[in-house]
Amino acid sequence: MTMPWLGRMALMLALTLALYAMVVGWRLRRSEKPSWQESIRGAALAVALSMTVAVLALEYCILTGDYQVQAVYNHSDRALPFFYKIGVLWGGDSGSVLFWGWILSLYTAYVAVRGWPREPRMTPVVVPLMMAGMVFFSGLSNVAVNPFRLVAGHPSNGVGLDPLLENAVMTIHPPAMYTGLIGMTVPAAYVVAAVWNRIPWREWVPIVRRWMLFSWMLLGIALILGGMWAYMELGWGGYWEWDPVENAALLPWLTATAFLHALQLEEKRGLFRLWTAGLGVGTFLLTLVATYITRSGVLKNSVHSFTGTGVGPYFVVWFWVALIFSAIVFWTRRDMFRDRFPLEGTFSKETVYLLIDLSFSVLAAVVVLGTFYPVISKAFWGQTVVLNERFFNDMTRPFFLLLILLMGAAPVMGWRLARIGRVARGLKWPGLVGLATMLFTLIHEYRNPWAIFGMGLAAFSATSMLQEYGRAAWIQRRAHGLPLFRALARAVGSNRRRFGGYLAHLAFLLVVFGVIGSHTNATAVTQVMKPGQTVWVKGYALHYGGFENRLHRGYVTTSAAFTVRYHGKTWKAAPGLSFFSGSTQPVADISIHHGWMRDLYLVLEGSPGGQQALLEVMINPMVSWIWLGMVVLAMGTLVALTAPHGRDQSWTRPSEREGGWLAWDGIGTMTEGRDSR
Amino acid sequence: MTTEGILAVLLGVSTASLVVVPLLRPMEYPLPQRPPNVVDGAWVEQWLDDHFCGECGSPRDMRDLMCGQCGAQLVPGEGMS
Repeated sequence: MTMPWLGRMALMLALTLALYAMVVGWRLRRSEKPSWQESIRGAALAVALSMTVAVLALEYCILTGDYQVQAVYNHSDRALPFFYKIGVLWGGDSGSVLFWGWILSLYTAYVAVRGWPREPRMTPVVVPLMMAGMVFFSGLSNVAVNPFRLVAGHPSNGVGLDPLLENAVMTIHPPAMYTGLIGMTVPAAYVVAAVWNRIPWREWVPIVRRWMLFSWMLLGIALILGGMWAYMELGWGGYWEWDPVENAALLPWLTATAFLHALQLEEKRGLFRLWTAGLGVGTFLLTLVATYITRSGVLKNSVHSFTGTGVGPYFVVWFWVALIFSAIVFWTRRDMFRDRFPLEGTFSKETVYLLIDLSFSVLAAVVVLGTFYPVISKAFWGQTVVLNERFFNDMTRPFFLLLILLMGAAPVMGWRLARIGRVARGLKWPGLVGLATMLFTLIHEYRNPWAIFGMGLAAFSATSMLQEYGRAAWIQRRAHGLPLFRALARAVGSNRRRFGGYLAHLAFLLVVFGVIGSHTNATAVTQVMKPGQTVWVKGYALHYGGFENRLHRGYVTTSAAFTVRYHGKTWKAAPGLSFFSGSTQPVADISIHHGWMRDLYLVLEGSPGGQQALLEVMINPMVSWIWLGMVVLAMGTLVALTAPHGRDQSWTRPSEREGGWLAWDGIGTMTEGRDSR
Repeated sequence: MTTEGILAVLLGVSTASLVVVPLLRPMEYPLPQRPPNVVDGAWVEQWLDDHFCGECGSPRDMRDLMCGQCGAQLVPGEGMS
């Protein structure tokens, strides 16, 4: 008995238990017998336990250097530092599928243990549905990509991890990405279960919203972390290039964002229900598409190295099974999708939300089309046509700008019918700040009209959000005589969902500022430098001192020593190239000096001879705003997630019932009618 | 017995106790069930109106005539009228 043997046994047990919980759980979903219910819940826990044993067994093989296990042999070696060895688990295909299944098993166990007593009408359906996913992933691990497969002989060392992946960000990015993507299974399963059992919308929307919000946050963080890794490791000074694998992860994030807004519309007005439910299930299906794109190698134009490993066809089958099943459930229960209220005024919050949903859905469609265009063009015209960054930028830009505009308008719009005069008054300051920002960018050498307009719009929306904070704090201060900061804290604390949401929107706007700023006024200079020479680039003085060599465990680094001066400050920079044994291509060690308004980004391209350095100097404005956006996104979502259960879950506001916008200065009246649907 | 063998036995025992034992043990009490739609009860709505603003959902005092969060007009709570 060895550790790989234990892992294989645990995987087989997980598959058997998942099959049991799926089949028996589905057959007995209406059973009132507590012993069977307890057994199914126990099976969900036991699957999680078995998968945990399998994951720990593989991790043990990785950390102890059991190179007879193929997953260890292919992606690890003796020289690999301990921290990066942890990440070897998801570095390869078989380990990734195991890791995916493990996270899904943990989600399922949590739902079975905590969700079952709370939601006894839906969870007996949710658990077998999620177990179907477990059957798929544990089946893949048992049959197609067994992580415990052994190699011939007894190798004493492995091939090693791709040097580009030896980065702290890359150790955090995949788990965040997986946890986010897999988490989207839970809301989709709840949507199907609720429709299947005809559960009133107001009962399940709050549950689904929380699950999706959590997964959406993780996926958002993972997307930005992926960009951070590209920026720090790849050496081209960018963070996003519309690569198929990047697009694959963006797709479910786009539809999840649309879904979260559609839930808001459902909660307040009960509108567009089929679309809302479709977005929930569609987001889950897109996570499968994302995995298919990443793992199948169907798109050869990706810079990512883990493609083409043969699991793609299985994901296609799983995608179609899930799609057809969901479609049948929706069709047989189509009476569930009747709107609660009709759409009345065109100038209202409903219209804004509708346009937001439409924009995100169109963006998702554009990204799908652009990503799969090489396959489509090959199938129809016999020629592989790859769409470049320009296509994606040109196609998505108008929709992103529309979204930013709507984001600023939404807080001051009323449900049913907004009053134009009041909306105009509410948007006066945001509009002025937006115009001032456009002027400011024009003075600061912005010449691209899209960038100027985008900066203005982002400032407009950010001011609109901040105005809401200010207004709430002012009311609290007036009502309770509190100091400003405490008034603000009280305002946010008393409606965490709303203000957490605004914070997440501000995070998006920070990313927008960063993207526009870094794409508009970036500078790149390539220079051959001799020791003792100094060059000036946009106020930075770079003095080159010569090459230095450093020997590390498993690789050698040659770096160029620079002294940099900027605005009276001096610091050392050492861009370099690392040469790994067994790899012909050196890996760039990029030197980045981060700043809030600009980064100094130095890449050593090589040497024309002797001590001469071929250096690429880039000045990238406002990139740090994107990383700050990630932190603010996490903060905002967490604030929203900590909102207590209670009134904000399911009630209908008086203004939603009678149509007036009850403003903060007390205009409007209360009415008698109650809506309990 | 090796460590792997002990772990395998522990896994098997845990699985059996989680999946099989509940089937052998007669359970007379049902799992906790949520009472049918208490949220729809009128008294709950009244209680919510007394304690939260109907417009923005922030907590209120029953004597407040204006919401401290969004400024919406409030009807005095049941206890006052």
